[in-house]
Amino acid sequence: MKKLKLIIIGALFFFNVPLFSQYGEELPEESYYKEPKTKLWVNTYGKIRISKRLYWDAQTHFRFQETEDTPFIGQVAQIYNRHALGYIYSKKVNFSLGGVLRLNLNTNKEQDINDRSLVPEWRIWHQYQFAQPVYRAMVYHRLRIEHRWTQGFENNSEYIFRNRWRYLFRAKIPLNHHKLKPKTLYIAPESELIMQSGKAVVGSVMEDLRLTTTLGYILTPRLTIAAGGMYSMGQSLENAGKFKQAFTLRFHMYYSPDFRKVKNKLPAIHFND
Amino acid sequence: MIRFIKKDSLIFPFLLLLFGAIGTNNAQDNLSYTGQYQINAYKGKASFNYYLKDVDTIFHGNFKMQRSNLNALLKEEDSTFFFKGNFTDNLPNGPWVFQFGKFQSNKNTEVVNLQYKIDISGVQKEAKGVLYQGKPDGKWDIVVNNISESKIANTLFKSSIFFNRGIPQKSFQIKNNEGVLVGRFLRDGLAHDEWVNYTNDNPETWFFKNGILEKIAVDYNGNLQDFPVFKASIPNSKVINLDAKYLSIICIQNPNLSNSIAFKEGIQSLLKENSLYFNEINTILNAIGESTFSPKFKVKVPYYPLNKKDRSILDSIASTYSTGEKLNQALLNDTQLNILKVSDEETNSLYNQLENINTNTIIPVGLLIENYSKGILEYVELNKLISQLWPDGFGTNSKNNLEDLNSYFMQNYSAIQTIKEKLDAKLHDIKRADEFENIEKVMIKQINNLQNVIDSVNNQIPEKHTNALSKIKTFAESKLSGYSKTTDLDKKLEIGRHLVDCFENLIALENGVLQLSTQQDTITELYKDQVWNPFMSNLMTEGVKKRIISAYSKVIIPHLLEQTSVNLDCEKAKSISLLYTTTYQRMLQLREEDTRKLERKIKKTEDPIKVMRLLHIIKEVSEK
Repeated sequence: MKKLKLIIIGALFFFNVPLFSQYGEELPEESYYKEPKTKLWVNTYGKIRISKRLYWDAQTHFRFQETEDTPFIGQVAQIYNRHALGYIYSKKVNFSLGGVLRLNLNTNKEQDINDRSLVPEWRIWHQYQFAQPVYRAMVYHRLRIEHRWTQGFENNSEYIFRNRWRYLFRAKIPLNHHKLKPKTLYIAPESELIMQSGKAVVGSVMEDLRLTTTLGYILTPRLTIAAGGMYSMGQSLENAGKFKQAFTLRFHMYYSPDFRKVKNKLPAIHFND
Repeated sequence: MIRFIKKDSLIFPFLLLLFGAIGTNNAQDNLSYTGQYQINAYKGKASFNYYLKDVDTIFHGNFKMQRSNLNALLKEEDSTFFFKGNFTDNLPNGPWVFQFGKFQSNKNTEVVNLQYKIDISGVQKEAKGVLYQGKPDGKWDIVVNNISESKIANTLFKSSIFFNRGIPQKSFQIKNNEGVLVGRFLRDGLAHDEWVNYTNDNPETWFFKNGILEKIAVDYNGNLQDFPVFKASIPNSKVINLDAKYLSIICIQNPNLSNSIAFKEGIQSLLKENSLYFNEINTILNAIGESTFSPKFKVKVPYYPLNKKDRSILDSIASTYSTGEKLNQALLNDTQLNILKVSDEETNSLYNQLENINTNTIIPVGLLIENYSKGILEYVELNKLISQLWPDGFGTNSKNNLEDLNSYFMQNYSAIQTIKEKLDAKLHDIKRADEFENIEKVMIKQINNLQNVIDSVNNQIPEKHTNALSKIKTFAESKLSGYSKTTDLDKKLEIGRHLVDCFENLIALENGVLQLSTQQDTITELYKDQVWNPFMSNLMTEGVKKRIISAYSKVIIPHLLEQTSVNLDCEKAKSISLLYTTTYQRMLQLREEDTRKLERKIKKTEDPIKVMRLLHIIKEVSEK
């Protein structure tokens, strides 16, 4: 019975959450914070130059999360493929437009036997990033808008559509040099607020607030590695009064190859010539 | 100078076409020509008759040629000429007149009888007479007049000589501003009787008897002088022309004549002037036809034929004289010797000996040889001439003959050579000392440079570079010490010359090492690019062509520094210093070149020679 109940709740969650949330679940009297989960992300970020103004943005993330036995790295939760065509407006301003295919793995240990263990999630995204130097550091403002189609693990579950509104503020502060250049260790505090909207979103507009600090090292102008920790929290979709929390360890690799012929690379500096 | 154009077998037919020949095509017929024509330097309008024999032009009939230029006259001065006469089969025959003028004008013109008239002033020469088969025949007058405003102002020269088919006859008269020479000839042209030059100042008389000049009497400023020449009877005589050669002969016969001013200015100069005018006309006639137009005054002189032995001695002296004279002059004019003789007594004494040889041997032998080559020696008494030239003889027991002259001359010639050897040795020492001084001056400068450079760059360049510099310095010092220990001066000089070049190479090498640091910095900077980092949104400096940079700094430069430090020698120093330069230049070029293939190749290569070859720093052939 208990199993059946869970299936029903699960089904309701994926299909009728808005209704259910709107009409079914009542908001708690005070905010309820769930136990934080532990996660581990291994992210690669590629920006591959294809012309003077354009680059191909290629990101692949492997996201793990805890199991009962193993914190952080217990199981694979998502495999994330984010791609876009980037446009370099100037050295400090760039825009991107592309798609995301996220493969969600079913991490619910109480899943129905008929449920799928892997479902795709589709997004169209566009982003506007602005950088500015502040003393020896650089700060970045990133606006990212995603149009997102998700579905549950149940067979025949239908896609729901939401929009995500993301703003990220990040600083990169060099530690051993006066500026960000090869062989530089830097610290990067960042915070990102992710808001969402859509018919399915009732009350839970703050999907996630991520507070991160990473320590990075610029190996070459084309390769940087970084690692850090993130605390995140946000309203759960089913009940705006309930907040998820997570501690995530993040490992990043940033690479930016340029396969253009030498003569096409020049001049590299003067974007606005 | 008068140039021959006429031998005109080719030019003449061309001129016929060019200026419009008038005549018939029949080559055997007499033809005539009117147009421009040139004889030596005389260019003008000509008209003449001729015929062709094979391809030669044979003048036959009238000949006329003239030139005058009004423009030249009005502008400054005009040189005119006028020749008129007859030819018979290329020989001038019949009456002839030659006129030469050099005129200026006062530019005043008037029209008289429908003709422009301009007065001219200047000098006109005229020769007039009859020629018989190219030889003067009958009376010939040569007159030089001073012309003023188209009138004869005065006569500068006039000669009237009567000829019989080329041989002067009867009496003649030659006069100029100074006086009048009157004389006469026998029927065979031999000078005879008194030839008197009537002048106000210095009347002069030549006493001839059947062509033999017995004496010359000169009244020099009221002082009567007699110069006996030949005896009345000459056992072995020969008839020759009275010309420059004859005048030399009589001067040798009586040396006092050479010193007499009156003799120089008197009859002699009148005869010379007359001969000059005859010669001028003869040159013209010979350029177009054939003639022997000369005064041909005949005289008799004693004849002393030279035998085979005499000639061979004279020829031998002549050939040695030319080398001896040049050698002696070269030594006497040597500037270094002239300076040296002031300070060096031995040189001064040798130099005085040379001067003595010049005065007592070279100059008189020169005169003898000159007379020999002019053909005069046959008409003078050789012993007499030798004792004139060497009044003191050639030493005790010597005779004034050619054999003794020859041995005297050869002695002096070898003396010149001995002196030359001594002076050469002197000069060699001086030149060597000078060269030592120069070389050592340069060497001191060079070694100072090599020694001091290390102190000046201390700590400013990497230690490896300083070590290389110190090796160069040590090497230079060892070379210098070898030089100073050498005692053989010639050998030392040779080493010194070599060391100057060697030190130059070492300095070049030193500069190669000195500049290395700066060059390396320049190259490191040059091989960098600015790269935009999309994650940091800034520009970062990125090294490019890293394999080339690595080959440069990790393979080539260490190799060159090692070569600079180990087993250095002078030639190697030159090639290594060149490699420093070439390497740098190539590195600057390679930055701009497409080097992808090259980078793949040098990745596998660690041998510095191979790397340098791949980078085209050294060519296959110059590989060491």
